[in-house]
Amino acid sequence: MPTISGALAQVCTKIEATFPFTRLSSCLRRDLDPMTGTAKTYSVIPVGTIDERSDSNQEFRRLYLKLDVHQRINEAGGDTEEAIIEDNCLSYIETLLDPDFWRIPGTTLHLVEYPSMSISDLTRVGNVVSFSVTVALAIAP
Amino acid sequence: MGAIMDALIVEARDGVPTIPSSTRGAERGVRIGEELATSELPHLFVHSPAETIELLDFQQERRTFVCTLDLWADATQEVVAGYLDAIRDQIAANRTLGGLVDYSTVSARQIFEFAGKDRRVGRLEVTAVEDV
Repeated sequence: MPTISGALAQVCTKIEATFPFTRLSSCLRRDLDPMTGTAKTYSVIPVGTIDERSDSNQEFRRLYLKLDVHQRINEAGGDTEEAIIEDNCLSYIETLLDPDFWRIPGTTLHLVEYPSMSISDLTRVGNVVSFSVTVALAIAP
Repeated sequence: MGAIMDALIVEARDGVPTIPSSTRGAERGVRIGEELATSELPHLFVHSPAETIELLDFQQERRTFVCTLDLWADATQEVVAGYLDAIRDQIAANRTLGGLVDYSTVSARQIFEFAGKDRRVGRLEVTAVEDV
């Protein structure tokens, strides 16, 4: 049976193949990795559960993901917050909110909760703009 | 720090055009105000710069700069208060100090007076913040 950690690795491979994001060394601490220049990074907070179908002995593992994306505003290079949000973030968000992005060919993952975000998921600390997308994937046995 | 203090001198000169030119009217550092010649008044000292650094996510820094502006003048309390108003308004109109910082503000003002003396000093504390 595919594992939750294996599913997470498949998702990260898809993210890195699609976006110019570098994965942070920690998904929980935001002070461990520096962001300089025009850095774009991401981290994934994964949580797993297991369902057991009532009509069978099949176990369905489920992977809940909170994907955090971070971009630095390079003020010295002429970047502005408005440009970063409107030119970059919205384009990334559009891709990440498309359910098809999470249907990854060659895997047994399928969507059980559509990707979503709320207004408070877009934030800025210092010169780094961040947003989060949450999604839940089931891993077919 | 030096560039910010130089920018504050420019703002103060714009606010109080009667400050004499060059270091006869404004300088970084401080001397004994009572010993200033009348021709050097109103005289501005920009001194005692300090900076504190707050750590932000992703190893960024929020640098908060504070320095003191002392404006000496042989003038009435009302006139010195007017000078302080003019400098404050000048900084408020150019809070980034020409792009040097995210914003700056006059965070404290006081006029020091000495019994039996016409010479007064108006003090402004300026705070500037820059995320790096």
